[in-house]
Amino acid sequence: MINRLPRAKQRSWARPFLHIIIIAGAVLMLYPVIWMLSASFKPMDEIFSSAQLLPQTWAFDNYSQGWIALDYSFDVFFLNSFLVCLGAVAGNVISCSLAAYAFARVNFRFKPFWFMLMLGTIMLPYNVVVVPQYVLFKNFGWINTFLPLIVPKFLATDAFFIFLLVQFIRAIPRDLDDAAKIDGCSHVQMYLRIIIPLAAPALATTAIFTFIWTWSDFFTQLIFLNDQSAYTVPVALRTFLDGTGVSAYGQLFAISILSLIPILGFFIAFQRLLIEGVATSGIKG
Amino acid sequence: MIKTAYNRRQILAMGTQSVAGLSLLGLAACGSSPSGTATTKKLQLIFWGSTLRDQLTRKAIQLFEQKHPDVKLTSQFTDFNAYWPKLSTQIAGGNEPDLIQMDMRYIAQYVQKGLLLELSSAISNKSIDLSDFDQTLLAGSQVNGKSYGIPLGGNYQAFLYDEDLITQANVGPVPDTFTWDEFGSYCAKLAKALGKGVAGTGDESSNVTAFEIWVRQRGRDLYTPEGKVGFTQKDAEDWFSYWSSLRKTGACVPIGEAAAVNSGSIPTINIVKGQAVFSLTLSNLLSAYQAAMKHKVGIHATPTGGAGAQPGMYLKTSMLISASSKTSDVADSTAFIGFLINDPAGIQAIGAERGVPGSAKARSLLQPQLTDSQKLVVAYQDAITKSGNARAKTVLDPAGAGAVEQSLMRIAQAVGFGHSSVADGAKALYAEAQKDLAQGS
Amino acid sequence: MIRNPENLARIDAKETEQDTKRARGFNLSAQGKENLTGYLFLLPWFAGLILLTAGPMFGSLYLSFTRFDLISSPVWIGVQNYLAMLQDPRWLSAVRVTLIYVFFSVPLKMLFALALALMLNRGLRGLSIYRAVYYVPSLLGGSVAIAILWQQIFDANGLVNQVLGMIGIKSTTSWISSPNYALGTLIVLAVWQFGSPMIIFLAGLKQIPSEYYEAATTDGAGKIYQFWRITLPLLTPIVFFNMILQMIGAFQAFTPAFIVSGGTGGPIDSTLFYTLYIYQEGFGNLHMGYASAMAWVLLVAIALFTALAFLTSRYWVFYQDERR
Repeated sequence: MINRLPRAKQRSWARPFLHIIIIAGAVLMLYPVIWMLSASFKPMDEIFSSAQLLPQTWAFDNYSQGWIALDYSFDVFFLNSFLVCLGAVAGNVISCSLAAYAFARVNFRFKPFWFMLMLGTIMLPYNVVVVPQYVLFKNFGWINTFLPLIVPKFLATDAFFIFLLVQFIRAIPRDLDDAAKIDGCSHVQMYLRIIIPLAAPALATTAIFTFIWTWSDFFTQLIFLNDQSAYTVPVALRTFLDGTGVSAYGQLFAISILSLIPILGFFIAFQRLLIEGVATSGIKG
Repeated sequence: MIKTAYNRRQILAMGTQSVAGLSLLGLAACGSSPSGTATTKKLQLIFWGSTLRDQLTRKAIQLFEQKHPDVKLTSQFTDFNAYWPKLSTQIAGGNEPDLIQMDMRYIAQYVQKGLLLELSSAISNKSIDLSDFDQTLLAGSQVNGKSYGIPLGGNYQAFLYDEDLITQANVGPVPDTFTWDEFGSYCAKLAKALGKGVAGTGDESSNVTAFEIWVRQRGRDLYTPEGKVGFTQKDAEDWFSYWSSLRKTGACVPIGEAAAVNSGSIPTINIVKGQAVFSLTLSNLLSAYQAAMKHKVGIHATPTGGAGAQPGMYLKTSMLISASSKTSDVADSTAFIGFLINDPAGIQAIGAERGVPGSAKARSLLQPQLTDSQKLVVAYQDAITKSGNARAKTVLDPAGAGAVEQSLMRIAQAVGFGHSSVADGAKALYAEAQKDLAQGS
Repeated sequence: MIRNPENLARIDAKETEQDTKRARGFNLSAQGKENLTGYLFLLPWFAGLILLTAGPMFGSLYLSFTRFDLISSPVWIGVQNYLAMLQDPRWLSAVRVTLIYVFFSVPLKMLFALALALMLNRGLRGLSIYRAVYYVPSLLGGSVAIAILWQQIFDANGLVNQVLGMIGIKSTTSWISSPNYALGTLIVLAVWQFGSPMIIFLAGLKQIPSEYYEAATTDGAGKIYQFWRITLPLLTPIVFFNMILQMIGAFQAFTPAFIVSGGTGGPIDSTLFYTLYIYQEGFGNLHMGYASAMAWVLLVAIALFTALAFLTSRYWVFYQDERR
């Protein structure tokens, strides 16, 4: 059942006003994308000289040239990004929900200590651990593969999501758990049958954020990937710019626009899980 | 080079990559990619640049591999700022590339740590032929008198200017030479003629390239051969005071516009934004500026120091190609360097995009394929060399020079915003520079 | 709907008894089984912790007591790095800048996120489109386009000044290149990207069972009453989560300052975020030991603030799974 306040209680003048605010806000949100879209169709000497949004000269070749500017065309880079992102999503959703279930629902010894430690791992800036991790992955022979980008997700290194899921699971009433326990369910069964379905919005959130953050994660992908054939979209995009030579701004914007499409698409596809909400009628039974 | 279709190698690579990506665990083998026969030697090149440079480099690599069928050379690149963290992480991880594009600001440190191959044997056995190479350029690129990299191009400092605005201002053409003060008054005239929103010059007080010229014209260098501060506090004070006066007369852009400039990003430069007429930078960047501007860009020598002053400009290496001291294949690595410097195929493949080559043969070879902007740059460089307005620089930037650059920018901005007086700024700059150099080594 | 607590206690007791009886055969008490289950669920995390996180973390702790330039071996220098920090004016700038950024951007971001989540949760037409639209800024986070655009908007002739001119305020300040206001533009950038916490709030709102609202409406409760007594209390775990993570994220913020200031933290270090300074020192000037020391100081500071938040959370965060 959709969580919605009964309409009869809403005042009629409030709704159009609300709409106006929301639409105005939407324009503010979208202006940069509109600007980028317009710049992607302009030749380079026009991008920074003219303030108007409509291009004087339409430069469609920003898209066609940008797509093939590197040794491999961008479909390879998009595919690589997809592989890395989907791997990361699978890894995070599985491993972080397992860990979160333990912290939220299982009463094991030293839990507060491990919980604090888990939070602590979120607090160290990545710049500082990247070099030791690089050495580790080099010893495994994983440099220039996707493994350093995906395997850590299966080991719940994104503690952010563990914490997120803990908070969501703790917000689920224990009544179903208790009922299940009386019926003789084990933790594993409760995890699979009760918590996972009820925490679907949180899992969707995890999936969405993981996908989007991994899609735009430039620094780790730069460090671990060497060959152009392995490049992901952010690494490849960065190569359009060079402060010491001629940069290809038009092409950069064109491909940036294109790279927004998958993440927006992923978001729109998964946000349904946020809409459907939680079937809570099970509690009454 | 524009690809209109995938060649077989690419399709193979794409296919391999997809399969490799899908079999996530499959690549956790002993660390080497499974291609190549026993006799194929694999080399890695790393460089910074944009997609244009990458296309030219890949062409050069292709031609090189045709001449050396037993060598497979892969390349990776990124932009200048991300290049150094990536390179140093790779080196820290024991994964040094065989061929490394180098910058003069970093070469001293890398040589000090023993990371670069000393090239004298390759030069003497003619793998790298420097017989017609510009000796000033070569000398300026050496560390302790030895070559650890070969310059791929040379640069002079220059004032780039907006020719259309000069015409529009109608206060007379740009004088052939001017002192700093004459430059200041010319810019003031331009500013007045062009009206609100356009000044004569960008604010170069935070620009280390400009400051270096100022100091050199007084007979000193920014750094001493021992790696200490070479300029005096008075140099800094005069420098800040000069730009303060230009700000007051409106000859240079107001500090608000100056602080928005980020020298690594062309769109933020005042002249590109149409806010100024002159901009001090390196001659090589003419192409980049022109590509972003609708107006025509001209090039001019920097101001002279007046009577009794020494020439300030010097021929600066734009970038070098070096080999790693730990490369497993010295012969082929140095052969690639030689290919870029001497082989007509290599020379024409990379073109003048990295700078005007040091070899006279290369310069004449490239003459027909130069773009208009590049022709301007070559003409400018030849003119400066002939004019005697340049004096070779013999002191290398020590480690810590990067921090000094940042200090200059911060303090110059503080003076510009009025947070600091000229005298205090000079004192602070001198003190910070000493600290930066002490910490750098 | 919530069962009688006494029944629960009885059920628990019975359960434990049975478990213990059954478990004696395996030599494992109910608590022992619980422990084992917990650790088994945590196995992937432990693996990650030991292999990938703990090692590098301790590695960086060790490095913080050394002089390390990434290329040669680290040289032990004891606490010199930590002492140097206190005397480093740029470090003090970075701390000041970061604290201001955290204490302004986090509350503002949360406010907008919650407000929009509530507004968008009402079953408006075109809801899913609005939701996507409000999330778009977060998608653009680290892109170079944002840097260029932000400069154009906050420049002397930018959009902001034009809008101000339209309402009669003449302004020629270049906000983004003024040492007094540049940080403000970055705060605006952060708040503009409130989409992430908004999504999390939306998910949290979805999880509140509609029965509660229905029951309240049947009892005659008004909308505002429902908001204060149902929505907000049940949302507190999510508010708490967002607050903690936005705070940690703001302390560690890097990309906005990096791309907008071009990596300089300027003008005059007014946008020198703490992690930007760490990056400059570590990868720029190759003072990796000093950078590691600064990183650990940051970690301790964040841990202290977080601990404080956790301590106060007892008074305002209400979890459904607590039995009181």
